[in-house]
Amino acid sequence: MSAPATAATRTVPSPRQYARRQSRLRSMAPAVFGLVSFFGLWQLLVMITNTPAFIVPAPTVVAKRLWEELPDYAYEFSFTLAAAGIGLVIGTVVGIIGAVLMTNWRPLEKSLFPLAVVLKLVPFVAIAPLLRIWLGYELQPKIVLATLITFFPVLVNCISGLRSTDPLTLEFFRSVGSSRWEILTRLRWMTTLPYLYAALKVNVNLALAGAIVGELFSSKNGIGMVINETALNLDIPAMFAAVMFLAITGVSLTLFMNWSERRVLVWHESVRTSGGR
Amino acid sequence: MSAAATAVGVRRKAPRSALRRTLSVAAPPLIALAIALVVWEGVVAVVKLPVYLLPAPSAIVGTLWNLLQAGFVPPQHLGAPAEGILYHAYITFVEAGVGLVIGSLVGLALAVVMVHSRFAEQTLYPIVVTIRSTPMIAIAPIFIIWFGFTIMPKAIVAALATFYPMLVNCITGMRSVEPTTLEFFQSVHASKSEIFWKLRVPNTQPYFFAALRLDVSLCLIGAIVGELVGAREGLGHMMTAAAVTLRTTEVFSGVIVLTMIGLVLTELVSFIGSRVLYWHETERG
Repeated sequence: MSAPATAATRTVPSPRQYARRQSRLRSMAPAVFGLVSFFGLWQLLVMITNTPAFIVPAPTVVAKRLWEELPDYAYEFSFTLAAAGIGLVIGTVVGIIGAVLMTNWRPLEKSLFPLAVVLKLVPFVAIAPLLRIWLGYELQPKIVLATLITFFPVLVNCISGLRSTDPLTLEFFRSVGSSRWEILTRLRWMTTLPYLYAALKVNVNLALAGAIVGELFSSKNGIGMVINETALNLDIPAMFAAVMFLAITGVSLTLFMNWSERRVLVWHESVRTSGGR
Repeated sequence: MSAAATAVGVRRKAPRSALRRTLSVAAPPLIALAIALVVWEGVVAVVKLPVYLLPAPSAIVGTLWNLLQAGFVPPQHLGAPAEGILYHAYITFVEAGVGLVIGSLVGLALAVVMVHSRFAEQTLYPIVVTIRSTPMIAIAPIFIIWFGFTIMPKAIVAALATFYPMLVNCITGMRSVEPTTLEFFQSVHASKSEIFWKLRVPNTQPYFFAALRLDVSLCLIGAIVGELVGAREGLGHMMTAAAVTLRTTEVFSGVIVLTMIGLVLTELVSFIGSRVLYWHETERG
């Protein structure tokens, strides 16, 4: 959609783009300063107080351990990512379908939407122990947990989005004889996207957390299993390393979601007025 | 039930249309819920599922009733069958509450700092995002090791779960003051603190309550997650212990009680919010 525009501007950066790139570099400086001073302070405190590594390991110790364990953690994390990803996809797709069905059939919406709002409040992590009994020790219980956690936010947000279509625009679409399908894909879907993204951005991290909760309870594999085992063995540097690994992947996912939101919702005011963050 | 409600309505001469409206809103979800429960009960009865695998709704309600009736009894020993659910609910409630207070206060304080200093915002933002993006369940074991089986690890996890919505919403609220109103304040030489207290703070209130509404359910989840990792009491512990020993009805009872607490707290926040924000357009419209 916006491909020609970006292709044209990529060859020669316009002065505005150049200025923006400069200002982005400048705005990165405090962020780097913040992170560096955070870890520096941590390192310094550990060194001054001589804290043993089994209580709080220094960042350098954690980083070294993470480097050693990296292939292992990446392997284990692939299980976590698979469970979270599959759960997220199922939850999102079913949520969107459910929202479309509900907004197109009044009785369904009237009867199920209030229930969905209540079910959204159910802390599904609490049934992790049950899922182990039902589904065993493989990927399935984690997928189900991630699906349950991600489904309701998508459903509720999509319904809000589908409902929030501007009545004037809707009337215009009707006046030119648009079909229901056209109204759904060309109009309602567009107003829903920002709502969907709001849910997705939260859900990416929630699905990951859900998969990890599942692994903490019952697993042969997964980063949750690693955390559980290292905690039981009081191998705290390894546990911190696993948490650091998760922090890095979590931040990467968050940044990716923000980036893709800017790409998908270029036309939306929330992106246009945010000044690029 | 609906007949009785109508009769009461007629006797009190309540406006019939209002009653009808309430009924037409409340009836469909209740009917759907009833159908779902009947189907569930029927399937369990027909397939003869063992109660430890999937208990029928009637069995769950029976257990829940017994657990509620038992009153406020602490468990006799570690992993003992839950005698009363109220004690565990109280423990989880306290953990979540302490976490919510800590998380909200930290979020609020950070928001004030980050709104007033661009440097502080840019410095703290990546740290905040890192903390938020790290699954709190992964951090929970660390706090268990530091603080033991006390209330603290759960409260910290709950605080970590709640501080981010509060922070983001309060920043948005303080930032999104109307430019013309701000200009007016400046034109009459309002001081910085006056602008803060008389303009930014009132403007933040709707955002504050929106975050709080979200946070009351998040802090409960945080407390539960903390309990799943290591606890001797609380609903999360009760449910884990019950699941291990296949007392599945107790797990479901715990889920129901948790959801009810979340529902009541969310509605309470909404109610208080609507009282405080009577002047705001979202409440008037």
